[in-house]
Amino acid sequence: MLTEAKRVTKFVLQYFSANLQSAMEYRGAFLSQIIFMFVNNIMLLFFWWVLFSKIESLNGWSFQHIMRLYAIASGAYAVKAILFGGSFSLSSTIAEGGLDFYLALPKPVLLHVLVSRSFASAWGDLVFGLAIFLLTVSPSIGMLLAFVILILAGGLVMTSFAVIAHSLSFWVGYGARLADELTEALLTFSLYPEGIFSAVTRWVLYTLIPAGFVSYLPVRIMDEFSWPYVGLLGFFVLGIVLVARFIFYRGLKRYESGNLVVTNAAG
Amino acid sequence: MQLVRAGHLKKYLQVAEISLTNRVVYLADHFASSIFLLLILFIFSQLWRTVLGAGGTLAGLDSTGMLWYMVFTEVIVISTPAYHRLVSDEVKSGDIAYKLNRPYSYTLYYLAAHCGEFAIRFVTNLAIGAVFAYLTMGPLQVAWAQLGWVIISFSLAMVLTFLMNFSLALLAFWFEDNRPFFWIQSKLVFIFGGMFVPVEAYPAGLRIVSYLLPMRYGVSAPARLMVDFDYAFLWQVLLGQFIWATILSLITAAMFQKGVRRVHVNGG
Amino acid sequence: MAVIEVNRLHKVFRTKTKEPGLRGSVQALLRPTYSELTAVKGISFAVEEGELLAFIGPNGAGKSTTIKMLTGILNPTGGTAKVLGLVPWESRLQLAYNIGTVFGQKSQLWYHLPAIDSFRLLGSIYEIDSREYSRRVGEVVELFELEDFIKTPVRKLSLGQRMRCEIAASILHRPKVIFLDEPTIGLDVVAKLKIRELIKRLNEEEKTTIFLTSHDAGDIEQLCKRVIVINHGDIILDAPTSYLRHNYLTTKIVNVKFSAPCPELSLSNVEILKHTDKGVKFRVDTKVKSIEGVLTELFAQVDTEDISVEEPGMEVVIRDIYGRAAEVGEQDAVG
Repeated sequence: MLTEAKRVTKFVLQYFSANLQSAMEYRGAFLSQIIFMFVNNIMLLFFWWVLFSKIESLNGWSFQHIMRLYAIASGAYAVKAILFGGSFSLSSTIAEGGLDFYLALPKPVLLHVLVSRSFASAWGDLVFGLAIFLLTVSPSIGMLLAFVILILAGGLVMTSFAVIAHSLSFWVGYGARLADELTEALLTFSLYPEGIFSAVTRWVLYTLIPAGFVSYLPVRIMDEFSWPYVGLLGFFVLGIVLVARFIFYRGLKRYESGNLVVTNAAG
Repeated sequence: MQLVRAGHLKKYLQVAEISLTNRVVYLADHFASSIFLLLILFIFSQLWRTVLGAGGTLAGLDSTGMLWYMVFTEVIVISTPAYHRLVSDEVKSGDIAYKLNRPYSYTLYYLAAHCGEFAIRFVTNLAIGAVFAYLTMGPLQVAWAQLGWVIISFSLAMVLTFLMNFSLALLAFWFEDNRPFFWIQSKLVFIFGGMFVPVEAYPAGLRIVSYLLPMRYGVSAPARLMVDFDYAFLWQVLLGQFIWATILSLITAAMFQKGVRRVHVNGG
Repeated sequence: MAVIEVNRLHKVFRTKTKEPGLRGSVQALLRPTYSELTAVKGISFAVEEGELLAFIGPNGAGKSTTIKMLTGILNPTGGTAKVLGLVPWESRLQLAYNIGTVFGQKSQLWYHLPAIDSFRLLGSIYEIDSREYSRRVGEVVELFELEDFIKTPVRKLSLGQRMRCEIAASILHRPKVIFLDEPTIGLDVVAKLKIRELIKRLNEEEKTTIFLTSHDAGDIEQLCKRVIVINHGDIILDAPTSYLRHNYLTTKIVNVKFSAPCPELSLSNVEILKHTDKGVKFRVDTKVKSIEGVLTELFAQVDTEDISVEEPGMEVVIRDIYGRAAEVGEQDAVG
């Protein structure tokens, strides 16, 4: 188990460094993308800044909470886009026969597809997330570590959710569009405070569209640390990773039998 | 810019019509892209109800007003067609040279296409947004008697948006890559166009800046007129829209003249 | 010892069909109808260790489907296959360590990075330990003559150089069998020759079994000792390349450019396709007359500036095989 985890981590990091080197080939574009993304995210905070100049708190949420929410959601998104960038285009990889290549290599197919791509602009999200996170806490190594752990958890939830959504392409044609809408919805909900939503909506946000585990619960853990919360988060992350894996490999069986909806026949 | 003679008006109307029908073909596709509109409206319906729950107001609007305000700002922005990309490409590739000897004005051609497409997208997006707002927040108190004025303001906003995008597209004459300008502009629209909250709610400094910039007159002002009509506000808005339309027309015309000269010098 | 054994391997693709329109969609949902397409029709063959085999056929013949089944990517509908003693679709992962693949559709090299960086990544994907890795890279670089461009970003390489790196990347882990899907597609003549030479060298020096698909008859003639021709999912010929060469690849098209105009020309036993002041184009059947014979006759009459010999296309060969088979069938019926 432990050696396996070590091997997986090593594999992810190797792809990470190759992707990073690749992005560095165009240093100028890389830097400007980071800056654009950084400014872009600051703009989104602007609305909350205006709103909180008019009101004191929002169901217990202050501007500082919003900043942490943004920090963790952007960081989680960055984890997904930098480490597991393949999750963005998984359905087209499936539909266009791109899995063949990974099937011929001796590494877990799903993990290999996920780590094979990386988005340089997401470094802007990461820098932004870290910067505003540090504005809301007294910086220390412990806090930094907490941030890293929380965004890794959120990133895994986002990635797993994307894998589930994109795996629909194994069963239905035009799955790409649906998957894009679903992952976009998860990201959007992760950027709004839990406090504004009705009870029913909240329930959905902790189950079907798990924005609660991407950002709400992590923010709460920062606020009032408790082991049950941490346990709940860890339990959910593990659960959704396993579910995503299960669904993907179920779909892969269909792929291996060549009976996809979008079979490009013989060749 | 050339002046339009009555006889010429017909062909521009036809351009607008074609661009409009062209859009109808993609209606299904278009409705699918409205999902994001519904998502953001859903979030804000809950947000405003929480923030402005019992009789609270922000910049004079209650929660219902706020959501309807957002329906209009969002619909204006997502209905704005992307002809500026086409123009940028034509300028960069030099294809614009071929379009120049056709018997129409390049600028007016794209203005017509812009308006045609904007109109159809506006109506369909508004239908979706309005149904949603009606179901979640209840009806909008429309000032029916003054609706004519509001429509005039929306039309001016449409022209204003075109002029902003078109002039930035023409920057392609001088800049290899003009995308950063569009990017900056979209951020300015977000803030100074008051996408989420009326600019009247901003702190004094930002409010004044937004009064001076054209973005507010293209997005926030007409939306606000629609949800909270007021004559004093109307005259202020129309004046602002008129001034900015004039300034941007002059700038566009000057840029176009200078740019086209470069095309002729460089041989396209 | 046979490294690949295929026995009545069969693949049927089943796809849902749908009538157009909304009604069709509802119908497809409630009472789905399927259409079947047989891509591979129960083929059998064996490949011995160290063989260099060509698996050829036109597009859509079932080549890729077969390769996909032999590498474990696709499950068959029926029949058995063993590669290196393993059933590919059951032991895909285990097999992956022992075979190499080059698919045209997805490059294993990172476009913006030098090939050596991709090699390093593949080294760890195949879990090659670092000492063995550096020794192996040295070998591969020498074998494929990559010295000059191994450190250049792949995007700056020519197509031929890129293909050399591509094949080199697939043999880092010393696979016993390597599957090459159209390795020469899109390459110019010189690059093609080079790739053929390198593939041959790989086969000879490392005793790697090579399973190669192509629709370029030249690849097969110059490279392989044995050829399997597949069409419509059926093996229609499994024979030594020399057999193919002597019986089917016999017609050549010769293109000659004159250095001085030559209006009169008499060549025996050839079919003149085009004759102008500047040159001549004709077809020779090498069973009837050797190329050397024709050229001797030609040189006696005219000074030439340029001569090229074209192989018949794959389609011609297949049509020929079918024609011949029909003839044999008729003879059998008579006899």
